[in-house]
Amino acid sequence: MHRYKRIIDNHIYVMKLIRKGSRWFPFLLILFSIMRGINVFMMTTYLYQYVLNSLQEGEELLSIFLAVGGMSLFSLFYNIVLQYKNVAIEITSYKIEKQIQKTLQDKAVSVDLGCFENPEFYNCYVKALAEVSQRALRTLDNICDLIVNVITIGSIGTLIFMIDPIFVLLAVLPFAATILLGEKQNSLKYDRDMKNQEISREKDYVQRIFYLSEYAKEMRLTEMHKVMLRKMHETVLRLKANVKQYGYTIMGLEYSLAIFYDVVVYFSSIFIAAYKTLVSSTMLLGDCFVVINSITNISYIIGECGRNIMAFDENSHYIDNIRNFLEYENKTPDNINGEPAGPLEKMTFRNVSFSYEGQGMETLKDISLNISAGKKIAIVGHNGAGKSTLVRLLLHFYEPTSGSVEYNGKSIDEYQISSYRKQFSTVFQDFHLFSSATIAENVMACGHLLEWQKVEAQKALQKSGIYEKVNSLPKKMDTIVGKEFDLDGAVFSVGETQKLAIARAIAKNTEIVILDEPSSALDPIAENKIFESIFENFRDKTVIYILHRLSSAILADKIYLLEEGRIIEQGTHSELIAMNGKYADMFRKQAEKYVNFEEGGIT
Amino acid sequence: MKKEIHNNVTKIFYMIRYIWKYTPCYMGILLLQVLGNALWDILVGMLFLKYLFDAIEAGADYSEILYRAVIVMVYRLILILYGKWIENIYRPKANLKLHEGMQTELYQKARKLDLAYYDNPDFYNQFIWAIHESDTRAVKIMSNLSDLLSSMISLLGMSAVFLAIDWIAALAVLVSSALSFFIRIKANKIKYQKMEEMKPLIRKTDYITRVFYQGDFAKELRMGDMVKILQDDFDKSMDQKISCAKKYAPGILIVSLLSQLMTTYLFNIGIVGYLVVRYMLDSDFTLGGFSVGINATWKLFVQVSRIIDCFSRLNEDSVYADKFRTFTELEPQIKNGYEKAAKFETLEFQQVSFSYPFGNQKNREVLKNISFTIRKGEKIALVGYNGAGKTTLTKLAMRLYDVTGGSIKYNGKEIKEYDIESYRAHIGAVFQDYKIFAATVAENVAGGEYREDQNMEITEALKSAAFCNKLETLPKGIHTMLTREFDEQGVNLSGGEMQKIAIARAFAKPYDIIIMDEPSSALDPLAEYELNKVIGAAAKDKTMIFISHRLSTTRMADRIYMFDNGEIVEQGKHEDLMRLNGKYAQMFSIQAKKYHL
Repeated sequence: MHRYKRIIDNHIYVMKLIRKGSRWFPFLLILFSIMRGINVFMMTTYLYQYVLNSLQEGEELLSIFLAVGGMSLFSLFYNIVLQYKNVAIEITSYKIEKQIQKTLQDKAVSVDLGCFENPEFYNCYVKALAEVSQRALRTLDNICDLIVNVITIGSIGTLIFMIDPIFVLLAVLPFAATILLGEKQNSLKYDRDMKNQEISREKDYVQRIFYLSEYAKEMRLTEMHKVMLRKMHETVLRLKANVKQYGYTIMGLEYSLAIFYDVVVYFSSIFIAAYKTLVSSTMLLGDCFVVINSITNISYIIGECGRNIMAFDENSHYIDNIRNFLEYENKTPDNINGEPAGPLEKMTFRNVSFSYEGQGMETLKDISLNISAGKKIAIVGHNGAGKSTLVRLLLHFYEPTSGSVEYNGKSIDEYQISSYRKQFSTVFQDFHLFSSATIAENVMACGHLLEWQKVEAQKALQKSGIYEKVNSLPKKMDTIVGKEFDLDGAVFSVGETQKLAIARAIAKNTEIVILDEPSSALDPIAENKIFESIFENFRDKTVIYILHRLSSAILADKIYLLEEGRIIEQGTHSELIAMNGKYADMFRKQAEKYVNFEEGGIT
Repeated sequence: MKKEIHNNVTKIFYMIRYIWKYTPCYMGILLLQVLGNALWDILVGMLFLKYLFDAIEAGADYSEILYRAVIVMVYRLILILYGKWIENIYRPKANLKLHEGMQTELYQKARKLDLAYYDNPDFYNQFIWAIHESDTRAVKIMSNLSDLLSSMISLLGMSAVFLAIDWIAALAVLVSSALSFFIRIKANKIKYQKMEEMKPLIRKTDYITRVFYQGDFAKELRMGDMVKILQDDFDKSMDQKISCAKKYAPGILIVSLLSQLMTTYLFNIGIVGYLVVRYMLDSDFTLGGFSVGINATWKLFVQVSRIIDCFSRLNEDSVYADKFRTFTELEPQIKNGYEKAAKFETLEFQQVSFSYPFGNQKNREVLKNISFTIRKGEKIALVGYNGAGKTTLTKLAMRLYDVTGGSIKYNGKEIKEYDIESYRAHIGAVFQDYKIFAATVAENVAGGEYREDQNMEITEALKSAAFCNKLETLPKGIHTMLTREFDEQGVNLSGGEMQKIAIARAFAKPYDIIIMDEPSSALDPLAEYELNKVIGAAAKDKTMIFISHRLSTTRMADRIYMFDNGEIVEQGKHEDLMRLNGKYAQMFSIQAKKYHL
């Protein structure tokens, strides 16, 4: 019972979503469906029955023509409406898409970052959202189809029932067979497809290996292709075995069902109708014609109805996903009534531990640190030591599992998230430019730039050392980024992209700047330049930067060395060297050869 | 127009030939089904129906009707069985066979193709990546052709029967079908125009939707005000879509109304009216004729629109078939030589210059006038900034590209004269963007099929790459599957560990030359330090070409070449270069400066 309530509930929910885009759309469409149902009944069945029977019974010609004319007029009207509807539906669907996507986009931006990193959540909800408006319309279509089908079955069914109830029984027969055999057939097919899919993954993998450019070099220099061809052959054999295993049973079931739909109904109706007309003479010619002509049709429509009803369940599952997404409560809720955050005085991590959902292991363990305004903080450690996670907690993307993050002496929970995040500029490791915007817009992170904003953008580009390159482009700062939308768009190398990211951070002009491995893809000279520019441009700011190379950390006011989620050492460079621990060891190993040279050079 | 059709047909049959080659029965079996269905449409859908109603109207003998109906029924039963057999048994098997055959051939082709073809993203997407679905496409094209054939046969047969029953009605239907054909083509043109106008808008809205739902942008969207500009853009694009739809709406409405009214509706009603009148007035015109007339009118329209659909799909198919043909006829520019390469003695670069034929770098000289010689046993380091041409040079040495100027000589002879496979067999390489395959450790290290007797070599190679500690923890040793993609018991390695596997590959076979491009980039300083020591020992007697950013690792090389902007600007031993006090010394001291204590 609860399940049905949920299904109805979900459908109402979707109708409300659609009505946000176009208020009367669902009702008009339903009204139209009723018309469509009537038209189908008249034009495929009733017209002929009426004409043939009237002729056989010797009706007045004029009244026959009038009736036919009336029905034709209705159909004409229907056809005009139909064409109009087809055109109008496209426009309306865009309006609906616009509204629904907007609602979902707003939610997508405010939902926990963790949702995007959790593959289950991602697959379940986020991926599906891109096509949500189509799905909403399909749900509505399904309702309309059901209405049409019910009207058609009702009307043709009544007609046939009045001719002889036995034909109705006949028409329902295949549906009964579907109920008996259909489930078995579907579950077998599902199993087969699942198994095929599972096995095919390896075949697809082989395909990727041969065609993807990443693998091209290795495929030319090694003999890996033999292994891959063998793998494909094995996969094909397994798939063939799968065909054998399921194919014959499924074929048997499908054949039995097809016999019901295609053979039993049609031929029995011929046998019975011919008998009634010829032998027992209890049937009119028109009725006979109608029965033979429309009985297969009606059993198909009954089957169709069954599918419509099943689709309700499927659509409802889908709507559940949308609803769950829109109704998802953030684990790091925004404190709407919280205070706006002021300029930074100090930040504190107090015994912070954190583990990602679903991962038993703690990514961060008992982290305590202090950052005061204007300091340069370096966080170093291997890949996977927890550096990036630390930054995410700092930006309030996640809530610590225990302990607290404090900003100016208060837990960051007490601030409005948006005002809090406004205090930071960030340059992420995986920085992305937006290809639908110009360079200047990307730097200023907003559209429709005013003159003063352009000046700002230019300054930022100059400071980050990319202005020359930008200026060499035909449209300068107003060049679109990437070639996706503009063939004259600008393409940037990794290093240049990073400089643009830094330009954005400069333009945002916040008190705190966070840099996540800003130099990971660069050669030493370029890396050096980037760091010079960072220290130059953010001289008075608080800077937190993450590194896995040690050499650039030297200039920091404080260095934190992370290993397996813990801070194992901290202090200034000279303190850490004096401590002679892990940092000092790592540093010396790297320095060895350079320093040797220095000594060698002296002698 | 005629020529175009001829071209399209040739293209399509070029692809169909592959089906013929790998699954010769496929076409015959489908054709039989097509004929069976067409026969059903004509014989049963029309002739039997006519017989049936005539017989009923004339009050024929019931057992006679029963007898004929049973024959038709048996035919139907067989036809359906045949169809289900094809669908569930034959087709899946044939598709697999075709997939294996065609793809194996195409894989070999792809492997022989110049690497340069992969550099041009447009070309790559259009011709190389597009080929991955060619077997399913070929089947689709074949099905489409057989649909077309089936519709044509049905159309012809049904028209013939219809003509015999009532030529006026038949003619009317054919005329209206022809009319509807032209109107449909007109409609398609308008729709195509609209699609073209919509395409960039759709791309834009899809892009924005992707930005919102893909994790990649999630952090930035939460930090910046980019949300507003994206949403404004989305709104604008949606509004443009709406106005574009509105702009074309009247045209489409008129054309589709025309086609609906002029053809289907008017003729339909007209024909029904005509048949009713004839049935009433003409005593020779039977109920059978009447019902066949009604039925045929519907069915002929259906067939005509199916044929139109088939044609428009064939148009699409020919575009794909064209790509397919281009791919299969691509000739590698890197031509194979005949000479077998002997053991390595020297590798000489003589005034080598090079520019990539495709892509962003097109026609820019990436390498200019490079000359130097590598002799057996030497350790060579290539250093320089990003984009200076170091990696490109190693690719030339492996003959992944051919030089655009100058020459490369192996043992005194141009490398173009050697058989590529035999030449490459002397080179072991670790690429900057190395790849690990979802296969066992042994296969990954052996770089191909692995035999029991290679056990020792592989373990040795892993030792040379400092992988031994990890190897001991692997459940099945060198037979452990890498990645968990296809094996629950597989092992996912960290970036550094994967890099070590790639390095082991270079030691697994007795290669004469080993090329290493940034072999320790994924490692932390301690691991790098260890690795360098181990590699140094393992490669003692080998010839090595080494690329690294970290000058500390290249210091020990016999010779260092400093690249700048595609040219060798400095060369010599580390000490020489430092004394020279040029770019190398500058780069070195920038790095060294950070380690001043």
